[in-house]
Amino acid sequence: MKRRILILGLAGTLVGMASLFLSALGPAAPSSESGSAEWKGHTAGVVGVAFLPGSDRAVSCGLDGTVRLWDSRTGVVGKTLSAGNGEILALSVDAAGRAVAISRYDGKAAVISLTSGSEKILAGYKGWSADIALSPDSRRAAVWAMDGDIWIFDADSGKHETTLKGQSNKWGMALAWSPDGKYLASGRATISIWEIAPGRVVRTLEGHTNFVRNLAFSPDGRRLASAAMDKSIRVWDVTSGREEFVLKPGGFAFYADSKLITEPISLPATAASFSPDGKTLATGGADRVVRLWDAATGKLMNEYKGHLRAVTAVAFSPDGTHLVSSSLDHSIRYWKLE
Amino acid sequence: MTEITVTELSRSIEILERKNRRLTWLVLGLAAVVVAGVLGMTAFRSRLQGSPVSGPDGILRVRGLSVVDGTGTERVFIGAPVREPLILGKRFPRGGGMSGILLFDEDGTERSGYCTSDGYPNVLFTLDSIGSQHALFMAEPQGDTAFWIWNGQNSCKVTVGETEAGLKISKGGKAILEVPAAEAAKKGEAR
Repeated sequence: MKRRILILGLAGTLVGMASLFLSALGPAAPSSESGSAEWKGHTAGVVGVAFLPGSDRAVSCGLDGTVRLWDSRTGVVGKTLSAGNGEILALSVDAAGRAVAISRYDGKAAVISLTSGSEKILAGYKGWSADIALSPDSRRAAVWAMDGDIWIFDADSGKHETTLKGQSNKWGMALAWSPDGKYLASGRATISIWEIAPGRVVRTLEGHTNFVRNLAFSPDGRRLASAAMDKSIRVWDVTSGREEFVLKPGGFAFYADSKLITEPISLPATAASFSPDGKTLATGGADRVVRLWDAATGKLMNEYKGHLRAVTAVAFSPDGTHLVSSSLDHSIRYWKLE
Repeated sequence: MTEITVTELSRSIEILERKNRRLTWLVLGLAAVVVAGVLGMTAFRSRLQGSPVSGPDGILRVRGLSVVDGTGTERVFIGAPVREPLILGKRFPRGGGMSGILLFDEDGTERSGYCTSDGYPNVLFTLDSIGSQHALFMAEPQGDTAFWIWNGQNSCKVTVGETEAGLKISKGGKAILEVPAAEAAKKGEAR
């Protein structure tokens, strides 16, 4: 009798633990999801994902306050770096794949060594930064303070190096370094291209009517893609400041009774990334769809559906054969490109 | 009936004494656990009653309350003050203190609020799309009240004050209906 009670008790505990575990996995995936590998582990929305250069590993960060390293061949978490308490809002990977910079809601950005796990705190700026960008040579990290100034830190020492004086209280949420590390793009509705050495704006790109969420330079540094809350993605010629084309994706993909339905409405764009050869542009947004575009013409090439919530970031694998996308559905999807 | 030798008897007594000692220790141990439990519960209850969480009147007092859905995504927040808005995974500054109730969609993006503002004491109710406000119903402390709905440059605004009331509908940024028309015309001339 005692043994039966014990077994029933254990079974109940196991069922309880299993349901807790399942609830932590995020929204349940319908049976008809697209052909992609789904990486699960984050216990809240995933807001950033990137491949480590020259590697099969990817790194992600989330509102659960963790940074996770993934083996893209298996979709298994190799390492979970606890990055302190509170939400992580953005990440940036260095060119050597040895460190990742993160921005936290608590106002303490950090550069984390992927080998030792040690953290170098970048602090002192006002409020928090919605984005962070590590320079291609890994020497500098840029954050955008709430008072409108962009702070440049020495990524090795964590010391504040210089400030790009922005307009008072005109903060933004998108930063990107040019591949040669000489320029930094910052995006509100208007995008500014800063020359770092004198610390001045050398180009202004106007066209968006709401906040730019993400900026990405092409590998040759000549073009810049901007994904914005105004539901558009724009591609710019950086040298001339000319807008090359505007992409306005339409089609909100959602599941109802396990059936995929696409509603012809447009929603904010959150992510853009050029392929390593610069020929393809990947985008994502609140419509939950990952899209591939011809980067020369702006023609839609393919759509990938499967995420159950907004897509927050997209990144190509170093060899350009795969794409990863992060989402507020707590997952990362790994897409094989056709 | 077998005879019990003195040796056997003394051995039995020894065993019994040992059992007795064990039982004594066991009872003492259990008593200690019970006493510790009672003391702990008493301390916990007194601490709970003395804490700001629950007063002696049985009213729950908290600075914030978060309601999450089955995936752990926050869907309702009641707070004084409420937190900065989360929109598609990014935090925006609110630009002023607010206390009240917020609603979030399944992405966790803030979509509605029913709040009073700190500083200048307005009370307001908002409805938002993903990333933009589209409806605002607001009462100011002196009684002026307004209702606005808008999408881009198309808008409708109804205002009432102590001495006047008005309606203005705009399309593409230009007024297509303005009531009272005379006052609108006067304002236009004044400009």
